[in-house]
Amino acid sequence: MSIISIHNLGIRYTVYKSRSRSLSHRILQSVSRELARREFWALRQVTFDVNEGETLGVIGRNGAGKSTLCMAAAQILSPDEGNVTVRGRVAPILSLRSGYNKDLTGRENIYLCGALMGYKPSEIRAREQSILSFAELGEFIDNPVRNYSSGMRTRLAFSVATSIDPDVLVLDEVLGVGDASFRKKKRGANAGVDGEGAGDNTRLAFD
Amino acid sequence: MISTFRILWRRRPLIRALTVSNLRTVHRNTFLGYLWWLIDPIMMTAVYAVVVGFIFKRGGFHKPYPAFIMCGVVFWKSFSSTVTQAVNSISRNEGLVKSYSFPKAALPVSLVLSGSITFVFALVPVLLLVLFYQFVMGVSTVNVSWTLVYLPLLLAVQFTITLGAALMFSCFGVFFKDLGNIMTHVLRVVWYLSAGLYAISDIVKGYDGLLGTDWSRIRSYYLLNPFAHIMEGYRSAILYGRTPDLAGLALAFCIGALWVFVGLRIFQSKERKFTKFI
Repeated sequence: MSIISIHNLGIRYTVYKSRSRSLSHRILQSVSRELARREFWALRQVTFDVNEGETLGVIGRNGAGKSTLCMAAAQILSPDEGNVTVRGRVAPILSLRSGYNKDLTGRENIYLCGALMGYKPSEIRAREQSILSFAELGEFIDNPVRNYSSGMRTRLAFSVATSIDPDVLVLDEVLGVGDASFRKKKRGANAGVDGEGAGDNTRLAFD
Repeated sequence: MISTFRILWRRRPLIRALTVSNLRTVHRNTFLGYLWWLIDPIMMTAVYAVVVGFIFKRGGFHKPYPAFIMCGVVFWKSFSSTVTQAVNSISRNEGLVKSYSFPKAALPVSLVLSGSITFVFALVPVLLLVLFYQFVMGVSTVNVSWTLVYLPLLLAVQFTITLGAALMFSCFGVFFKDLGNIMTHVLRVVWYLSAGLYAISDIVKGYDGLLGTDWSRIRSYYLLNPFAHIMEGYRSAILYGRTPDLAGLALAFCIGALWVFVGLRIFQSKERKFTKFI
């Protein structure tokens, strides 16, 4: 039974040629709107299925549409063509610069991110210990995330997404971050979720 | 509209988590922290009391004027700051919107909830001021009484109208980046058009024949302003011990409910475009 089924997926972006901020430019642009923009398909006619327990890695050059595919699989972008069906809960780690509230502490962000993924506070509380012990942030867990280093942010995001045992884990370019010992640990956690993770830069991992 | 509501209802834990983070973050980095909830309305009241009451000497009709203003100011401060934040709520949370799949309407809804909680605390200095005028100064027009039981009703009307405005403007704000700037001016005009610094009854008094206009007709248009009824309602219930104008409040509630309906409809049709647009 496939847990993710993507059929004939197309994601279209509208690119405006002039990005000028001036008011006159904007008015001209709104008058001749059709001329000023062009359409751009980041993805088109993408079809695949992923079964339970499988891991899918996606490799490609910059601009190939890897991140767009991740966002579509995590149901953050809705398809302009075709359809995306995902059964179960998705834990996405798409970027280390966003995806949390910088003013909240690490611990508060665990609850916020869990809620954003659709977990109840009681479900998160039950997993809080395993998230904390995986992240190894020590006393920094009660400091605001704005003071975290990028390594600490990775640990937090990764610990939440894996310890919360989602049905689908979507990772985008975050596997290379972190020091050697944490990477080893991540690989171990991945093994628990799916199997072995290859060193590609965009991965969809499914449980 | 129904399905947007149903999704939001199912995601109650998310709305609660967002509300809690709003309350935590707004005042976390400031020195006085939560005290700002009380200081803001007090400062705004002081400014109007000095300018209108003391310098212009126009507060005489409504004694005690500071308490009169404060009843309207706390409501307006809560409404306008919630709506101002809601306009940018989706683009300001770009990081979350682009990282997780969740109903975006939860962002303005959580702002309205945290704003309502803040408002309840802001009512405390109002009650203290009113009690001060009644028992310490012995002002005869002030009459705190059982009509305080109407506060939950007023809060419900205020909540509905704030929610409606927040939902609509948060949606528009994604597509029109200038809306935040425009709203500052719109809100200021609406504040002076609403019965915050004066009473609804002042609209007819003494102006008949002025500019050759029929002021009773202008007044009937004026009575369509929901904010005027809410401010007048708070003054009746807190300051004068009178039953608020329930017909006016019903009108305000209906306008608010209509806005909520329109807001949810817009969300339903536009929400999918948000992620690409911001």
